[in-house]
Amino acid sequence: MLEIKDLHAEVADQPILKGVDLAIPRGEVHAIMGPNGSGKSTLSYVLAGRDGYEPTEGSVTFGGEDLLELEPEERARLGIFLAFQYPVEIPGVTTNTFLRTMVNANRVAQGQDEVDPLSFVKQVRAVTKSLGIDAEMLKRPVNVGFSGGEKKRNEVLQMSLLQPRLAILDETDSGLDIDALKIVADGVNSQRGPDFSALVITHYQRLLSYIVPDRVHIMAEGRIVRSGGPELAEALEAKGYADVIAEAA
Amino acid sequence: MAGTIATLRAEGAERFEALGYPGKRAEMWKYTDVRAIAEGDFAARAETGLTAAEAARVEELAGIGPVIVLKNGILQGKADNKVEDISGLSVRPAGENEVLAASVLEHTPDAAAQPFAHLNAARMGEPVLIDIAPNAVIEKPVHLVFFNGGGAAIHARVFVRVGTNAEATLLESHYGEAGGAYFANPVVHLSVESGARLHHYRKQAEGEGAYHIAHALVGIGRDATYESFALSLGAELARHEIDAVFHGSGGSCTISGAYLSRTGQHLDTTTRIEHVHPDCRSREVYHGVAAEKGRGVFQGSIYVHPEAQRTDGHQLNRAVLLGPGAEIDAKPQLEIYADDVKCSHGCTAGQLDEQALFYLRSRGISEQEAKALLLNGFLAEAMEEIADERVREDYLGLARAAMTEVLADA
Repeated sequence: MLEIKDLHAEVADQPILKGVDLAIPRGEVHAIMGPNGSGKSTLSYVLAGRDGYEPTEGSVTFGGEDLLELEPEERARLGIFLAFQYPVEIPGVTTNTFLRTMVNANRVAQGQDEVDPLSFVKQVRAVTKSLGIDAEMLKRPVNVGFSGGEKKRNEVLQMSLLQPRLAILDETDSGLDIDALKIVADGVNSQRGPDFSALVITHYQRLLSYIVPDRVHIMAEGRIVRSGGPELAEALEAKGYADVIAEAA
Repeated sequence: MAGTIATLRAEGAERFEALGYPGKRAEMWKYTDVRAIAEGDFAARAETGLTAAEAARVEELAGIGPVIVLKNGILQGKADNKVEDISGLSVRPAGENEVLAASVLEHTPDAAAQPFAHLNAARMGEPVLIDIAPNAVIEKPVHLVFFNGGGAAIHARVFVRVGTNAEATLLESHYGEAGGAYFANPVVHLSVESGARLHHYRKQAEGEGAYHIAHALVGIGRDATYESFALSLGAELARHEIDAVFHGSGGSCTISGAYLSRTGQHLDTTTRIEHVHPDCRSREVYHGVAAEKGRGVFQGSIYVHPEAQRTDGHQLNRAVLLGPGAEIDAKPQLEIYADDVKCSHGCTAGQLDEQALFYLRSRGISEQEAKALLLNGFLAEAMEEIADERVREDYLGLARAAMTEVLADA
């Protein structure tokens, strides 16, 4: 599904990614763990196509397409979803309007008709309920005045509506209490299936108790330095990053 | 007092003669060049009958509430004005009640230094007097509609009195002919007497070749509320100048608005709020967007006299520029001579938020649609100041349509 080969990237002329190799097969959930500053978030932005995160070497393909050639919206329409570490506040735009615009943009790009407003309301209601989101939130401007937990649930709500083929969760666990974490994890787990892959970026093992990955990769200084099964996350929890990275060296 | 209107006219001629058209050296006009108006060749008179399209629009608006129509500055007769028999509301030529007109004049700012207001006085046709009787509560919005065009210079003048403890909503809409140049120079006096409440929503949708210089002269009585919003979209060159003064303590004044200045357009908002008495509140929120080679001007002054203790004044002016050739000139001015006041002001101008743009695009929304969403949201934020939901929806729709055209041209 996703193939990253020898990816190098710069931010503000500083090299951050220094040769990332990673393949996520269809239907698998992989986790990337690593200390702060290892390049985890940079990788997520490069994959989503954010300005200022410049790939300089290597390749990224998604379902065989060269991802790095595409605009952010084109990547999204292919089925890539980035759940932001810090979801952006958009004053003056209600969550409802945003969600409808988002769903319609994707439907129209796929040659479908715009969503029927009434059935859309029903669909959104059903997802908000399962995520424990107060439907009042839909009337508020996107993420404005939302608590940390509300913002993260809003990300999962968007993911559920878009049904991506690859979800990149960038530290979605940060700032969440255990109840919110479970709700978010349930939201992700409900998407799991043969057509859903995910890249879960996290600093802590905690989230991986709820979203159990098929593979765990450890990132340090802009490269994947070690890969393994879910037990690798547990080893990290027990020994800490320094020891596990040292073992890899 | 007989002769109020004749006196106003004579004084206006004298004062305009003394002041002349403002040049760029005039401090209050340094951002707005009116040479095109001074040198313009406008007809002194224009057609005063409604076109079929205008009559149809009036018919449609009459479904919402009473409609008062001025065609090229002239009050339309009974057949075209849709003022039904509403108790507490009267509309007539000001000459029929000069005593009341004099009272409105006395309770609204003098516009002493504003040449265009004097030019209006010198050249005005028959002024219109709208009276909301004391204690009347007018449920339906009263709609004051201007149809302008005909290559003319149009000097409409309207006196509005909202009597003691009365409440009303006044919609003011300026429509114009597409195409040719004309000059609309309306002056509206609004006297909100003690304990009264006036909600005033104004849209400026003049033709794209128009020059529009407008004055709103507002007097706010003791414990009275004046709440207003102005949406400016039309004209090649427009200035909306609002002068508000408090006549007693406990008054409240909201002056807010939004504008979208397209390529080649110049939209100026100049406001002055004068706190003369203690315990009054004023609030001002303006959001503007300037397209490439579009220009916006915001001059907002708040003057707090020594006696105006415990004044609560808030002013916020924000603007977004859509290209390297877009221009916004902002001049907030706070003059505070009382020591116990709470005054704040904020002023920003910048590009669209890149993070927000990326966030939307990362959801599959095209760059153009994402920009439209953010810009409409930016204007909608200012429109949250509009208490009337129907007006808010109407204005949002107009702004959205204009934004779509601007982004399609970009």
